[in-house]
Amino acid sequence: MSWHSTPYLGPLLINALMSAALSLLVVWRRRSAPGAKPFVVLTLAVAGWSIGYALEMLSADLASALFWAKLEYLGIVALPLTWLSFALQYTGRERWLTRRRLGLLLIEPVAIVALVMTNDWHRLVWRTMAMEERSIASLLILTHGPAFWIHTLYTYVLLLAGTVLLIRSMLRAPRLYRAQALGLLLGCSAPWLGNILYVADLSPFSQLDLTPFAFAVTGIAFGWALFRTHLLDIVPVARDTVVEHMKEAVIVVDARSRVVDLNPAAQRLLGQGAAAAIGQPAAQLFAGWPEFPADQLSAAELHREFQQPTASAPRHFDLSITPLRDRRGGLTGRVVIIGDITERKHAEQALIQAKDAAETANRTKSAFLANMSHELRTPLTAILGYADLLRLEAEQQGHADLVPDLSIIQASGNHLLELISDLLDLSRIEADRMDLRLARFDLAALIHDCADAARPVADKNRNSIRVSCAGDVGAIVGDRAKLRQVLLNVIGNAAKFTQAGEVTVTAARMPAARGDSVQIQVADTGVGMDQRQLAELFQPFTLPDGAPAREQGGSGVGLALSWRLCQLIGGQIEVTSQIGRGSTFTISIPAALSPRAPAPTADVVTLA
Amino acid sequence: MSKILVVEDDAMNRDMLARRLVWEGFEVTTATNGAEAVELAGAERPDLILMDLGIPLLNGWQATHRIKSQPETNHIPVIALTAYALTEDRAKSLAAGCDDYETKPVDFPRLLGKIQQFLKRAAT
Repeated sequence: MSWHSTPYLGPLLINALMSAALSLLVVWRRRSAPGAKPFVVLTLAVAGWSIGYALEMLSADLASALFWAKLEYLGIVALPLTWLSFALQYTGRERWLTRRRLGLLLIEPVAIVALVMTNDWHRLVWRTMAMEERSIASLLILTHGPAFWIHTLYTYVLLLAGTVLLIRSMLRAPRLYRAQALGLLLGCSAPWLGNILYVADLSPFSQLDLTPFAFAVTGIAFGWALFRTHLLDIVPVARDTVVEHMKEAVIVVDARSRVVDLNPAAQRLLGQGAAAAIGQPAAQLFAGWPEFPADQLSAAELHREFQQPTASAPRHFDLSITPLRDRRGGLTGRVVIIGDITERKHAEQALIQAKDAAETANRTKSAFLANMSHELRTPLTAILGYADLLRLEAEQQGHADLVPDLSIIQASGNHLLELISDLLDLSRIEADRMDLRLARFDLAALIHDCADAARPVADKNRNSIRVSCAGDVGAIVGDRAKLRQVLLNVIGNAAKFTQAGEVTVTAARMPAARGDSVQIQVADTGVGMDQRQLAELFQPFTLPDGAPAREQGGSGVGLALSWRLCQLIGGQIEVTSQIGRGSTFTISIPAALSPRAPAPTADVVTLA
Repeated sequence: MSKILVVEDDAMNRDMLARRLVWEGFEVTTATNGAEAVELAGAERPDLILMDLGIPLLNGWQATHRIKSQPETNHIPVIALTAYALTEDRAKSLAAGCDDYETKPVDFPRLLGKIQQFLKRAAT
């Protein structure tokens, strides 16, 4: 083997060294990045080709030149497939390259290598081989056979496929990746240009194959993109215009928490442009944010809120960190999303304040009502007490004519007292201050007792009251006093608002899966109510015009209270009514009421 | 004739209660505040006390507590009278030592029934 010098040696060796260095850099720094492996093979193939080419040029005789030319093919045939595989991985389509497809695509390069090695016998790759003296060096001049053209076609198809994939991803990549896209475009176009110049014999350096130089340009372009704009860190396809227009700040960091991307909202939030922010450690971006949990940046996953003091009022932020993983589950980076939730927080606080204010107002109202009740009861005590005394004295001293008037004072006073009691109860229920007193009692006895209490009114209106309790009603567990209040009210109303009719009270046990209930029905043959009256029946102080209760001096509080009392003892009241036919009130209560958690009972009232 | 001590700060109600009880045939002494009530209970030894709870100096609970903790007066039945009609007040009165509880305005038939019961019990 004899050697001679060549001016092409320098560029070829530099090319080989650069490619090898690039592949080493990637192996060392960015092994886990998508596309890194094929990129390494690609640069190694370029390095191998360049070295082989350099040695071919250095060879002074045909035999050694041919030896190196054949070895170069190991690099040459590796390029198209590694290029395609890089493009596939980089654009997230590596799954396309199945084992089967890889095997099929490997047939051609393996065959070409075999043909190159055995070219002397069949000359399918190179038809002629000769050394030619040029002004600068003696070059191996080859003319190409059919196998060469087949390989060129194969190369072009794969190169084209990879280029199309890369360009498509570039077109989809938004503004921030322009520099990276430019690098990619340059990298993509170089091999085409170099190879076409050589194959078409248009090279300015006659017979010098520019393809390895071209691939070196690709390596440099990609290498620049790699280290300057972090080409392989995060696949740009992940980025979407949605992110670009998001109101939340989105910051993408790599596995070592350095910023690789941030959207306009993040730039506004941090007051830093993309160019300044990208490449910085994320923690540094938040140096002016004392409350930002910078130590949590390396957290696997995080969702929390934090407050950031500002010159005026503190602002509230919602921070979420989500890891980004490649297909093998390796961590490639994190997405940090920061949303300004100050408005929401303020709204929440306003709601809480409004709720507190409403609760305070309600408590104040209850205390007011309790005090009012006391203040009203004191003079009422004197009114009723003196009226009673006067009536007694009038009777004794023979002024019987005064007795009816005094009785009216007493009746009105008693009505007022009833109203005050109902209002007080209503306010206590609303303030959740009504305690349950559970006991076992005989329901039939209670119903008879309440019916008896209503008889004087019923008699006055010429009504009859009929009570019919089923034999199995028996004893129930509940709050006797509250049920009594409800029954007195409902039966009393029936007796009051029916003229010369009938009031029927029935009670029966209703078996049910979740515990028996008891149903008490109070039916009258009174004037009845229309839909409008029914709808407002249980609202306090809503006695519609012309309602019988209004003419009878009803206050409209009794039924509202009964309805709430009934709810309190675990039951409900339903009513059906027909104008002119009468009304039926149905009270359902559990046969055995279980005690609920005791309601808070602080003292609303203090005695003066 | 049984003697009843009426403790009530409201002049009209005090007068009304006193006149009504006299009408019913009782001898009545009145007090306008808790301190006076404790003093009169000791000095006059009434057969029964009607105690308004919202009274000055010593309130009704405190006065009742004093009366009930002194050996010479602790046998006297005390019926609390109040315009606060809450169940808590009832429990509080009974805890302070009141023997019974009635709300204002006064239901005289019921109050008189209770008074008779206490007096009858004391007599036997």
